[in-house]
Amino acid sequence: MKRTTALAALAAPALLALSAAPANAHDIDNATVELMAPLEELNDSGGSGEAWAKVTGNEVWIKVEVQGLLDSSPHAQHIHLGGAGECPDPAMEGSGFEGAIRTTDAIDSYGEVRVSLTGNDADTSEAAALDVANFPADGTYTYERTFEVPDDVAEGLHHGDGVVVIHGVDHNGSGEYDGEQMSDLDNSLPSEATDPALCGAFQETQMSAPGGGVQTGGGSTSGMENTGLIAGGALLVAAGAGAFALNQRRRTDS
Amino acid sequence: MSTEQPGQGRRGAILTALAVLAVVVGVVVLAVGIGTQRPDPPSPPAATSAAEPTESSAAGPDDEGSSTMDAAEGSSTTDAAEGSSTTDAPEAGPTSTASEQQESPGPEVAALAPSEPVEVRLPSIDVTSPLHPLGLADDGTLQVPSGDRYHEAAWYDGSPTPGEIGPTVIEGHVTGAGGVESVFFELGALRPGDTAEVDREDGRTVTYEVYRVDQFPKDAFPTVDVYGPTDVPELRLITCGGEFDEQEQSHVDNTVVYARMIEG
Repeated sequence: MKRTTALAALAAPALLALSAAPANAHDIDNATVELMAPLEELNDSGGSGEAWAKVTGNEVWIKVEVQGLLDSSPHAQHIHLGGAGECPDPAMEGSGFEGAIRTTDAIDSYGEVRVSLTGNDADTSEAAALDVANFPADGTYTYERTFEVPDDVAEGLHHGDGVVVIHGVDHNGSGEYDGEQMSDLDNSLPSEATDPALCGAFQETQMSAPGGGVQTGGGSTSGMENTGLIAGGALLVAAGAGAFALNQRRRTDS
Repeated sequence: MSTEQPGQGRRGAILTALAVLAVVVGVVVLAVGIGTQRPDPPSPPAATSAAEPTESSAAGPDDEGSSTMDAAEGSSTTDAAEGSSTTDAPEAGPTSTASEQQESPGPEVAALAPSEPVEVRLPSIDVTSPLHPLGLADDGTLQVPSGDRYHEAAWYDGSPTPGEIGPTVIEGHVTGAGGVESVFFELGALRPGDTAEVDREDGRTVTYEVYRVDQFPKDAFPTVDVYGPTDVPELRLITCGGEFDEQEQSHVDNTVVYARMIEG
Protein backbone atom coordinates (compact mmCIF):
# COMPACT_ATOMS: atom_id res chain seq x y z
CA MET A 1 0.00 0.00 0.00
CA LYS A 2 2.70 2.39 1.05
CA ARG A 3 4.71 1.17 -1.87
CA THR A 4 2.01 1.89 -4.44
CA THR A 5 1.56 5.46 -3.25
CA ALA A 6 5.27 5.97 -3.41
CA LEU A 7 5.25 4.61 -6.94
CA ALA A 8 2.30 6.79 -7.87
CA ALA A 9 4.10 9.81 -6.49
CA LEU A 10 7.08 8.98 -8.63
CA ALA A 11 4.96 8.27 -11.65
CA ALA A 12 2.84 11.41 -11.55
CA PRO A 13 5.57 13.92 -12.42
CA ALA A 14 6.92 11.52 -15.00
CA LEU A 15 3.51 11.26 -16.67
CA LEU A 16 3.15 15.03 -16.59
CA ALA A 17 6.51 15.40 -18.27
CA LEU A 18 5.53 12.84 -20.90
CA SER A 19 2.23 14.47 -21.73
CA ALA A 20 3.81 17.90 -21.87
CA ALA A 21 6.58 16.88 -24.26
CA PRO A 22 4.56 16.19 -27.43
CA ALA A 23 2.74 19.51 -27.11
CA ASN A 24 6.03 21.35 -27.17
CA ALA A 25 7.50 19.14 -29.85
CA HIS A 26 6.07 18.68 -33.32
CA ASP A 27 2.59 17.47 -34.07
CA ILE A 28 3.25 13.78 -34.61
CA ASP A 29 0.24 13.17 -36.85
CA ASN A 30 1.42 15.46 -39.58
CA ALA A 31 5.15 15.51 -39.10
CA THR A 32 7.58 13.24 -40.85
CA VAL A 33 10.74 12.44 -39.00
CA GLU A 34 13.64 10.89 -40.87
CA LEU A 35 15.98 8.64 -38.93
CA MET A 36 19.30 6.99 -39.69
CA ALA A 37 21.66 4.67 -37.90
CA PRO A 38 24.92 3.08 -38.95
CA LEU A 39 24.83 -0.50 -37.65
CA GLU A 40 27.87 -1.28 -35.55
CA GLU A 41 29.22 -4.73 -34.88
CA LEU A 42 28.53 -6.46 -31.56
CA ASN A 43 30.01 -9.78 -30.44
CA ASP A 44 32.59 -9.70 -33.27
CA SER A 45 29.80 -10.76 -35.62
CA GLY A 46 31.80 -9.67 -38.66
CA GLY A 47 28.82 -7.75 -40.01
CA SER A 48 28.10 -4.15 -40.88
CA GLY A 49 25.14 -2.23 -42.19
CA GLU A 50 22.84 0.72 -41.94
CA ALA A 51 19.21 1.51 -41.19
CA TRP A 52 17.15 4.37 -42.62
CA ALA A 53 13.56 5.13 -41.65
CA LYS A 54 10.86 7.73 -42.24
CA VAL A 55 8.05 7.97 -39.71
CA THR A 56 4.87 9.92 -40.51
CA GLY A 57 2.27 9.70 -37.79
CA ASN A 58 2.00 5.99 -37.07
CA GLU A 59 3.36 4.89 -40.42
CA VAL A 60 6.92 3.65 -40.56
CA TRP A 61 8.95 3.11 -43.72
CA ILE A 62 12.25 1.42 -43.02
CA LYS A 63 15.16 0.12 -45.05
CA VAL A 64 17.83 -2.03 -43.45
CA GLU A 65 20.97 -3.07 -45.28
CA VAL A 66 23.19 -5.70 -43.76
CA GLN A 67 26.43 -7.32 -44.90
CA GLY A 68 28.63 -10.05 -43.55
CA LEU A 69 26.55 -11.88 -40.96
CA LEU A 70 26.18 -15.68 -40.81
CA ASP A 71 24.84 -16.91 -44.15
CA SER A 72 21.89 -19.29 -44.57
CA SER A 73 20.62 -18.50 -41.08
CA PRO A 74 17.73 -16.31 -39.90
CA HIS A 75 18.52 -12.93 -38.42
CA ALA A 76 15.83 -11.61 -36.10
CA GLN A 77 15.71 -7.82 -36.35
CA HIS A 78 13.87 -5.35 -34.15
CA ILE A 79 13.46 -1.77 -33.12
CA HIS A 80 13.97 -1.51 -29.38
CA LEU A 81 12.57 1.31 -27.26
CA GLY A 82 12.50 2.31 -23.62
CA GLY A 83 16.15 2.01 -22.69
CA ALA A 84 18.79 4.73 -22.81
CA GLY A 85 18.31 4.90 -26.59
CA GLU A 86 21.81 3.70 -27.26
CA CYS A 87 23.87 0.64 -28.12
CA PRO A 88 26.00 -1.18 -25.56
CA ASP A 89 29.75 -0.82 -25.55
CA PRO A 90 30.91 -3.69 -27.82
CA ALA A 91 33.59 -4.44 -25.24
CA MET A 92 30.96 -5.00 -22.54
CA GLU A 93 31.33 -8.28 -20.63
CA GLY A 94 28.14 -10.27 -21.15
CA SER A 95 26.68 -13.49 -19.79
CA GLY A 96 27.11 -15.41 -23.03
CA PHE A 97 29.74 -17.58 -24.76
CA GLU A 98 33.17 -16.41 -23.56
CA GLY A 99 31.66 -13.16 -22.28
CA ALA A 100 29.45 -12.53 -25.31
CA ILE A 101 26.68 -9.96 -24.93
CA ARG A 102 23.26 -11.61 -24.86
CA THR A 103 20.14 -9.70 -25.76
CA THR A 104 18.97 -9.18 -22.17
CA ASP A 105 22.46 -8.12 -21.01
CA ALA A 106 22.13 -4.79 -22.80
CA ILE A 107 18.45 -4.12 -22.18
CA ASP A 108 19.30 -0.98 -20.18
CA SER A 109 21.01 0.45 -23.24
CA TYR A 110 18.48 -0.24 -25.98
CA GLY A 111 15.31 -1.22 -24.10
CA GLU A 112 12.73 -3.83 -25.01
CA VAL A 113 11.66 -5.06 -28.45
CA ARG A 114 8.75 -2.92 -29.64
CA VAL A 115 8.85 -3.53 -33.39
CA SER A 116 9.68 -6.81 -35.14
CA LEU A 117 11.07 -6.16 -38.60
CA THR A 118 9.47 -9.17 -40.27
CA GLY A 119 8.78 -9.77 -43.93
CA ASN A 120 5.96 -11.54 -45.77
CA ASP A 121 3.34 -9.15 -44.31
CA ALA A 122 3.82 -10.85 -40.94
CA ASP A 123 3.02 -9.21 -37.58
CA THR A 124 5.43 -6.40 -36.68
CA SER A 125 4.63 -6.17 -32.99
CA GLU A 126 6.82 -7.40 -30.13
CA ALA A 127 4.74 -10.60 -30.18
CA ALA A 128 6.58 -11.57 -33.36
CA ALA A 129 10.03 -10.98 -31.83
CA LEU A 130 11.09 -14.55 -32.55
CA ASP A 131 9.05 -15.20 -35.69
CA VAL A 132 12.08 -16.93 -37.18
CA ALA A 133 10.36 -17.95 -40.41
CA ASN A 134 9.68 -14.33 -41.40
CA PHE A 135 13.06 -12.73 -40.73
CA PRO A 136 15.81 -12.35 -43.33
CA ALA A 137 17.48 -15.73 -43.73
CA ASP A 138 20.90 -14.75 -45.03
CA GLY A 139 24.01 -12.92 -43.86
CA THR A 140 23.79 -10.15 -46.46
CA TYR A 141 20.44 -8.62 -47.30
CA THR A 142 18.37 -5.52 -47.95
CA TYR A 143 15.09 -5.29 -46.07
CA GLU A 144 12.44 -2.69 -46.84
CA ARG A 145 8.90 -2.44 -45.51
CA THR A 146 6.16 0.05 -44.62
CA PHE A 147 3.85 -0.68 -41.69
CA GLU A 148 1.85 0.90 -38.86
CA VAL A 149 2.95 1.07 -35.23
CA PRO A 150 1.00 1.81 -32.03
CA ASP A 151 0.89 5.40 -30.71
CA ASP A 152 3.51 4.99 -27.99
CA VAL A 153 5.96 3.37 -30.42
CA ALA A 154 5.37 6.14 -32.96
CA GLU A 155 5.99 8.73 -30.27
CA GLY A 156 9.24 7.08 -29.19
CA LEU A 157 10.44 6.93 -32.80
CA HIS A 158 9.47 10.57 -33.41
CA HIS A 159 11.63 11.49 -30.45
CA GLY A 160 14.56 9.61 -31.93
CA ASP A 161 14.67 7.01 -29.15
CA GLY A 162 14.59 3.86 -31.32
CA VAL A 163 17.51 1.44 -31.51
CA VAL A 164 17.81 -1.12 -34.31
CA VAL A 165 19.23 -4.49 -33.26
CA ILE A 166 20.01 -7.40 -35.60
CA HIS A 167 20.48 -10.80 -33.96
CA GLY A 168 22.29 -14.03 -34.71
CA VAL A 169 26.02 -14.63 -34.14
CA ASP A 170 28.05 -17.76 -34.82
CA HIS A 171 30.38 -17.48 -31.81
CA ASN A 172 32.11 -20.82 -32.29
CA GLY A 173 32.46 -20.55 -36.06
CA SER A 174 30.59 -23.78 -36.75
CA GLY A 175 28.63 -22.25 -39.63
CA GLU A 176 25.28 -22.59 -37.86
CA TYR A 177 23.49 -21.66 -34.66
CA ASP A 178 24.49 -24.20 -32.03
CA GLY A 179 26.42 -24.42 -28.77
CA GLU A 180 25.45 -25.54 -25.32
CA GLN A 181 24.02 -22.26 -24.05
CA MET A 182 20.35 -21.71 -24.82
CA SER A 183 18.81 -18.35 -25.62
CA ASP A 184 17.84 -15.93 -22.89
CA LEU A 185 14.72 -15.17 -24.96
CA ASP A 186 13.59 -18.70 -25.85
CA ASN A 187 15.17 -21.77 -24.29
CA SER A 188 14.39 -23.89 -27.32
CA LEU A 189 16.85 -21.88 -29.42
CA PRO A 190 20.64 -21.76 -29.11
CA SER A 191 21.83 -18.47 -27.64
CA GLU A 192 23.79 -17.89 -30.87
CA ALA A 193 20.46 -17.49 -32.70
CA THR A 194 19.36 -14.53 -30.61
CA ASP A 195 22.58 -12.85 -29.43
CA PRO A 196 22.90 -9.34 -30.85
CA ALA A 197 25.10 -9.03 -33.95
CA LEU A 198 24.59 -5.43 -35.04
CA CYS A 199 23.22 -2.36 -33.29
CA GLY A 200 22.45 1.20 -34.32
CA ALA A 201 20.78 4.01 -32.36
CA PHE A 202 18.49 6.10 -34.54
CA GLN A 203 19.35 9.75 -34.91
CA GLU A 204 17.21 12.35 -36.64
CA THR A 205 18.70 13.32 -40.01
CA GLN A 206 19.65 16.85 -40.96
CA MET A 207 18.04 16.54 -44.38
CA SER A 208 15.55 14.57 -46.39
CA ALA A 209 18.07 12.15 -47.85
CA PRO A 210 18.06 11.42 -51.58
CA GLY A 211 17.45 7.81 -52.55
CA GLY A 212 20.33 5.81 -53.97
CA GLY A 213 23.23 6.99 -56.07
CA VAL A 214 23.58 10.15 -58.11
CA GLN A 215 23.40 10.25 -61.93
CA THR A 216 26.23 12.68 -62.50
CA GLY A 217 27.77 11.24 -65.63
CA GLY A 218 26.69 12.17 -69.13
CA GLY A 219 28.86 9.93 -71.21
CA SER A 220 31.72 7.51 -71.26
CA THR A 221 35.28 8.71 -71.54
CA SER A 222 36.28 5.33 -72.90
CA GLY A 223 35.84 5.03 -76.63
CA MET A 224 33.27 7.63 -77.64
CA GLU A 225 35.51 10.21 -79.28
CA ASN A 226 37.83 7.86 -81.21
CA THR A 227 35.32 5.22 -82.24
CA GLY A 228 35.88 5.90 -85.96
CA LEU A 229 39.65 5.68 -85.81
CA ILE A 230 39.61 2.50 -83.78
CA ALA A 231 36.99 0.81 -85.92
CA GLY A 232 38.81 1.82 -89.13
CA GLY A 233 42.13 0.55 -87.82
CA ALA A 234 40.63 -2.72 -86.73
CA LEU A 235 38.93 -3.12 -90.11
CA LEU A 236 42.21 -2.54 -91.94
CA VAL A 237 44.05 -5.05 -89.79
CA ALA A 238 41.34 -7.64 -90.30
CA ALA A 239 41.16 -7.07 -94.07
CA GLY A 240 44.92 -7.20 -94.43
CA ALA A 241 45.23 -10.35 -92.39
CA GLY A 242 42.36 -11.94 -94.30
CA ALA A 243 43.84 -11.10 -97.70
CA PHE A 244 47.24 -12.35 -96.62
CA ALA A 245 45.84 -15.67 -95.45
CA LEU A 246 43.73 -16.07 -98.59
CA ASN A 247 46.73 -15.34 -100.80
CA GLN A 248 48.90 -17.83 -98.96
CA ARG A 249 46.28 -20.51 -99.42
CA ARG A 250 46.01 -19.81 -103.12
CA ARG A 251 49.76 -20.06 -103.52
CA THR A 252 49.98 -23.37 -101.73
CA ASP A 253 46.95 -24.70 -103.60
CA SER A 254 48.50 -24.09 -107.00
CA MET B 1 46.59 -23.91 -115.35
CA SER B 2 50.32 -24.38 -114.96
CA THR B 3 51.11 -21.79 -117.66
CA GLU B 4 49.55 -19.05 -115.59
CA GLN B 5 51.76 -19.71 -112.61
CA PRO B 6 54.35 -16.94 -113.08
CA GLY B 7 51.64 -14.26 -113.40
CA GLN B 8 49.82 -15.60 -110.43
CA GLY B 9 53.06 -15.54 -108.45
CA ARG B 10 53.60 -11.83 -109.19
CA ARG B 11 49.99 -11.04 -108.39
CA GLY B 12 50.35 -13.05 -105.22
CA ALA B 13 53.41 -11.07 -104.16
CA ILE B 14 51.63 -7.76 -104.75
CA LEU B 15 48.60 -8.98 -102.85
CA THR B 16 50.80 -10.07 -99.96
CA ALA B 17 52.52 -6.70 -99.88
CA LEU B 18 49.15 -4.93 -99.89
CA ALA B 19 47.90 -7.16 -97.11
CA VAL B 20 50.97 -6.48 -94.97
CA LEU B 21 50.63 -2.74 -95.64
CA ALA B 22 46.98 -2.86 -94.60
CA VAL B 23 47.89 -4.59 -91.37
CA VAL B 24 50.67 -2.11 -90.60
CA VAL B 25 48.49 0.94 -91.32
CA GLY B 26 45.66 -0.64 -89.35
CA VAL B 27 47.87 -1.18 -86.33
CA VAL B 28 49.13 2.42 -86.49
CA VAL B 29 45.59 3.81 -86.75
CA LEU B 30 44.49 1.60 -83.86
CA ALA B 31 47.43 2.73 -81.76
CA VAL B 32 46.69 6.40 -82.43
CA GLY B 33 43.01 5.87 -81.75
CA ILE B 34 43.56 4.16 -78.43
CA GLY B 35 46.55 6.29 -77.46
CA THR B 36 44.66 9.56 -77.73
CA GLN B 37 41.63 8.28 -75.85
CA ARG B 38 40.60 10.43 -72.89
CA PRO B 39 41.32 8.47 -69.74
CA ASP B 40 38.74 7.38 -67.20
CA PRO B 41 38.15 9.86 -64.40
CA PRO B 42 40.53 9.38 -61.48
CA SER B 43 39.50 7.05 -58.69
CA PRO B 44 40.48 7.21 -55.05
CA PRO B 45 42.98 4.57 -53.97
CA ALA B 46 41.17 1.66 -52.37
CA ALA B 47 42.99 2.26 -49.10
CA THR B 48 41.20 5.54 -48.31
CA SER B 49 38.02 3.66 -47.58
CA ALA B 50 39.66 2.50 -44.39
CA ALA B 51 39.45 6.05 -43.08
CA GLU B 52 37.36 6.85 -40.08
CA PRO B 53 33.60 6.52 -40.25
CA THR B 54 31.43 9.62 -40.38
CA GLU B 55 30.19 9.35 -36.81
CA SER B 56 33.63 9.59 -35.30
CA SER B 57 33.87 13.12 -36.62
CA ALA B 58 32.54 14.22 -33.27
CA ALA B 59 35.76 13.16 -31.68
CA GLY B 60 37.62 16.06 -33.16
CA PRO B 61 37.64 18.01 -36.37
CA ASP B 62 41.28 18.88 -35.84
CA ASP B 63 42.36 15.47 -34.69
CA GLU B 64 43.41 13.51 -37.75
CA GLY B 65 44.19 10.39 -35.78
CA SER B 66 40.77 10.09 -34.21
CA SER B 67 39.79 6.94 -36.07
CA THR B 68 40.32 4.70 -33.08
CA MET B 69 37.55 2.53 -31.78
CA ASP B 70 37.37 4.50 -28.53
CA ALA B 71 36.71 7.76 -30.30
CA ALA B 72 34.00 6.22 -32.44
CA GLU B 73 32.26 4.60 -29.51
CA GLY B 74 32.49 7.67 -27.36
CA SER B 75 30.80 9.79 -29.96
CA SER B 76 28.09 7.30 -30.83
CA THR B 77 26.88 7.20 -27.26
CA THR B 78 26.74 10.99 -26.97
CA ASP B 79 25.11 11.17 -30.39
CA ALA B 80 22.05 9.31 -29.22
CA ALA B 81 21.54 11.52 -26.22
CA GLU B 82 21.71 14.81 -28.06
CA GLY B 83 20.36 13.84 -31.45
CA SER B 84 17.33 16.09 -31.41
CA SER B 85 19.00 19.15 -29.95
CA THR B 86 21.58 19.30 -32.72
CA THR B 87 19.00 19.03 -35.47
CA ASP B 88 16.43 21.38 -34.02
CA ALA B 89 18.82 24.20 -33.25
CA PRO B 90 21.79 24.23 -35.56
CA GLU B 91 23.23 27.47 -34.21
CA ALA B 92 23.14 26.26 -30.64
CA GLY B 93 24.64 22.94 -31.66
CA PRO B 94 28.40 23.33 -31.43
CA THR B 95 28.50 24.75 -27.95
CA SER B 96 26.10 22.23 -26.45
CA THR B 97 27.77 19.41 -28.35
CA ALA B 98 31.19 20.45 -27.16
CA SER B 99 30.16 20.70 -23.54
CA GLU B 100 28.68 17.21 -23.57
CA GLN B 101 31.71 15.60 -25.15
CA GLN B 102 34.22 14.13 -22.82
CA GLU B 103 37.12 14.88 -25.13
CA SER B 104 36.29 17.94 -27.16
CA PRO B 105 39.33 19.25 -29.01
CA GLY B 106 40.76 22.71 -28.44
CA PRO B 107 39.37 25.33 -30.80
CA GLU B 108 36.07 24.11 -32.20
CA VAL B 109 34.75 25.79 -35.31
CA ALA B 110 31.48 27.55 -34.60
CA ALA B 111 28.58 26.61 -36.84
CA LEU B 112 26.93 29.37 -38.85
CA ALA B 113 23.36 30.48 -39.33
CA PRO B 114 21.83 29.37 -42.65
CA SER B 115 22.89 31.11 -45.86
CA GLU B 116 22.77 29.49 -49.28
CA PRO B 117 25.99 28.66 -51.12
CA VAL B 118 26.92 30.53 -54.30
CA GLU B 119 30.34 29.18 -55.33
CA VAL B 120 32.57 26.18 -54.67
CA ARG B 121 36.34 26.08 -55.11
CA LEU B 122 38.61 23.03 -55.02
CA PRO B 123 42.11 24.55 -55.38
CA SER B 124 44.05 21.27 -55.54
CA ILE B 125 42.22 20.21 -58.72
CA ASP B 126 41.71 23.75 -60.12
CA VAL B 127 37.94 23.71 -59.89
CA THR B 128 35.85 26.85 -59.45
CA SER B 129 32.14 26.68 -60.11
CA PRO B 130 29.07 28.75 -59.37
CA LEU B 131 26.40 26.83 -57.45
CA HIS B 132 22.67 26.57 -58.02
CA PRO B 133 20.13 24.81 -55.81
CA LEU B 134 18.58 21.49 -56.90
CA GLY B 135 16.01 19.30 -55.17
CA LEU B 136 14.78 15.74 -55.38
CA ALA B 137 13.20 14.22 -58.46
CA ASP B 138 9.80 12.51 -58.25
CA ASP B 139 11.47 9.15 -57.67
CA GLY B 140 13.31 10.49 -54.63
CA THR B 141 16.72 10.65 -56.29
CA LEU B 142 18.83 13.77 -56.41
CA GLN B 143 18.22 15.97 -59.46
CA VAL B 144 21.37 16.63 -61.47
CA PRO B 145 22.54 19.79 -63.27
CA SER B 146 21.09 20.11 -66.77
CA GLY B 147 20.69 22.50 -69.70
CA ASP B 148 22.78 25.67 -69.55
CA ARG B 149 24.05 24.72 -66.11
CA TYR B 150 25.04 21.15 -67.02
CA HIS B 151 28.71 21.82 -66.38
CA GLU B 152 28.17 23.72 -63.11
CA ALA B 153 28.12 22.13 -59.66
CA ALA B 154 24.88 22.22 -57.67
CA TRP B 155 23.88 22.31 -54.01
CA TYR B 156 21.14 19.94 -52.79
CA ASP B 157 18.68 22.42 -51.27
CA GLY B 158 17.37 19.82 -48.83
CA SER B 159 20.79 19.57 -47.19
CA PRO B 160 22.16 22.06 -44.63
CA THR B 161 23.65 25.28 -46.01
CA PRO B 162 27.46 25.45 -45.71
CA GLY B 163 28.54 26.07 -42.13
CA GLU B 164 25.35 24.65 -40.62
CA ILE B 165 25.67 21.43 -38.66
CA GLY B 166 25.19 18.41 -40.87
CA PRO B 167 26.43 17.28 -44.28
CA THR B 168 26.12 19.96 -46.99
CA VAL B 169 25.70 18.11 -50.30
CA ILE B 170 27.27 19.45 -53.50
CA GLU B 171 27.18 17.44 -56.74
CA GLY B 172 28.61 17.86 -60.21
CA HIS B 173 28.88 15.86 -63.41
CA VAL B 174 32.02 13.90 -64.19
CA THR B 175 31.36 13.91 -67.94
CA GLY B 176 28.93 15.27 -70.50
CA ALA B 177 27.47 13.89 -73.72
CA GLY B 178 30.11 12.19 -75.83
CA GLY B 179 32.41 11.83 -72.87
CA VAL B 180 33.58 15.45 -72.58
CA GLU B 181 35.02 16.25 -69.18
CA SER B 182 32.68 18.06 -66.82
CA VAL B 183 33.17 20.14 -63.66
CA PHE B 184 33.93 17.26 -61.25
CA PHE B 185 35.97 15.10 -63.66
CA GLU B 186 38.99 15.25 -61.35
CA LEU B 187 37.06 14.88 -58.08
CA GLY B 188 38.46 11.40 -57.44
CA ALA B 189 41.97 12.89 -57.38
CA LEU B 190 41.24 14.80 -54.14
CA ARG B 191 43.07 13.43 -51.12
CA PRO B 192 42.66 13.80 -47.35
CA GLY B 193 44.17 17.12 -46.30
CA ASP B 194 43.04 18.96 -49.45
CA THR B 195 40.72 21.88 -48.90
CA ALA B 196 37.36 22.92 -50.32
CA GLU B 197 35.93 26.42 -50.07
CA VAL B 198 32.30 27.40 -50.38
CA ASP B 199 31.15 31.01 -50.63
CA ARG B 200 27.79 31.86 -49.09
CA GLU B 201 25.18 34.40 -50.06
CA ASP B 202 25.99 36.42 -46.94
CA GLY B 203 29.56 36.90 -48.14
CA ARG B 204 31.17 34.43 -45.77
CA THR B 205 33.42 31.64 -46.99
CA VAL B 206 33.43 28.23 -45.33
CA THR B 207 36.65 26.23 -45.63
CA TYR B 208 36.56 22.46 -45.33
CA GLU B 209 39.32 19.88 -45.07
CA VAL B 210 38.93 16.58 -46.90
CA TYR B 211 39.21 13.56 -44.59
CA ARG B 212 38.03 10.75 -46.84
CA VAL B 213 37.57 10.02 -50.55
CA ASP B 214 35.66 6.94 -51.54
CA GLN B 215 33.97 5.25 -54.46
CA PHE B 216 30.80 3.17 -54.19
CA PRO B 217 28.75 1.16 -56.68
CA LYS B 218 25.52 3.09 -57.27
CA ASP B 219 23.49 0.00 -56.48
CA ALA B 220 25.18 -0.22 -53.07
CA PHE B 221 25.23 3.48 -52.25
CA PRO B 222 25.77 3.92 -48.48
CA THR B 223 22.96 6.40 -47.85
CA VAL B 224 23.46 6.65 -44.10
CA ASP B 225 27.21 7.01 -44.43
CA VAL B 226 26.93 9.85 -46.95
CA TYR B 227 23.75 11.68 -45.90
CA GLY B 228 23.54 10.66 -42.24
CA PRO B 229 23.69 13.11 -39.35
CA THR B 230 27.00 14.66 -38.34
CA ASP B 231 27.93 16.57 -35.20
CA VAL B 232 29.81 19.36 -36.93
CA PRO B 233 29.39 21.17 -40.28
CA GLU B 234 30.56 18.82 -42.99
CA LEU B 235 30.61 18.69 -46.79
CA ARG B 236 29.92 15.91 -49.29
CA LEU B 237 31.10 16.34 -52.88
CA ILE B 238 29.53 13.77 -55.17
CA THR B 239 30.08 12.76 -58.78
CA CYS B 240 30.13 9.63 -60.89
CA GLY B 241 33.07 7.34 -61.37
CA GLY B 242 34.25 3.90 -62.26
CA GLU B 243 33.43 1.94 -65.36
CA PHE B 244 30.99 3.31 -67.89
CA ASP B 245 28.09 0.96 -68.54
CA GLU B 246 27.26 1.41 -72.25
CA GLN B 247 23.90 -0.28 -71.86
CA GLU B 248 22.80 1.90 -68.96
CA GLN B 249 24.64 4.91 -70.42
CA SER B 250 26.00 5.79 -67.00
CA HIS B 251 28.95 5.20 -64.73
CA VAL B 252 28.48 2.31 -62.34
CA ASP B 253 30.01 4.05 -59.32
CA ASN B 254 29.67 7.28 -57.36
CA THR B 255 32.76 9.06 -56.08
CA VAL B 256 32.16 10.78 -52.74
CA VAL B 257 34.48 13.24 -51.00
CA TYR B 258 33.96 13.73 -47.25
CA ALA B 259 35.21 16.96 -45.67
CA ARG B 260 34.62 18.85 -42.47
CA MET B 261 34.59 22.56 -41.72
CA ILE B 262 37.84 24.00 -40.42
CA GLU B 263 37.15 27.70 -40.87
CA GLY B 264 34.20 29.93 -41.52
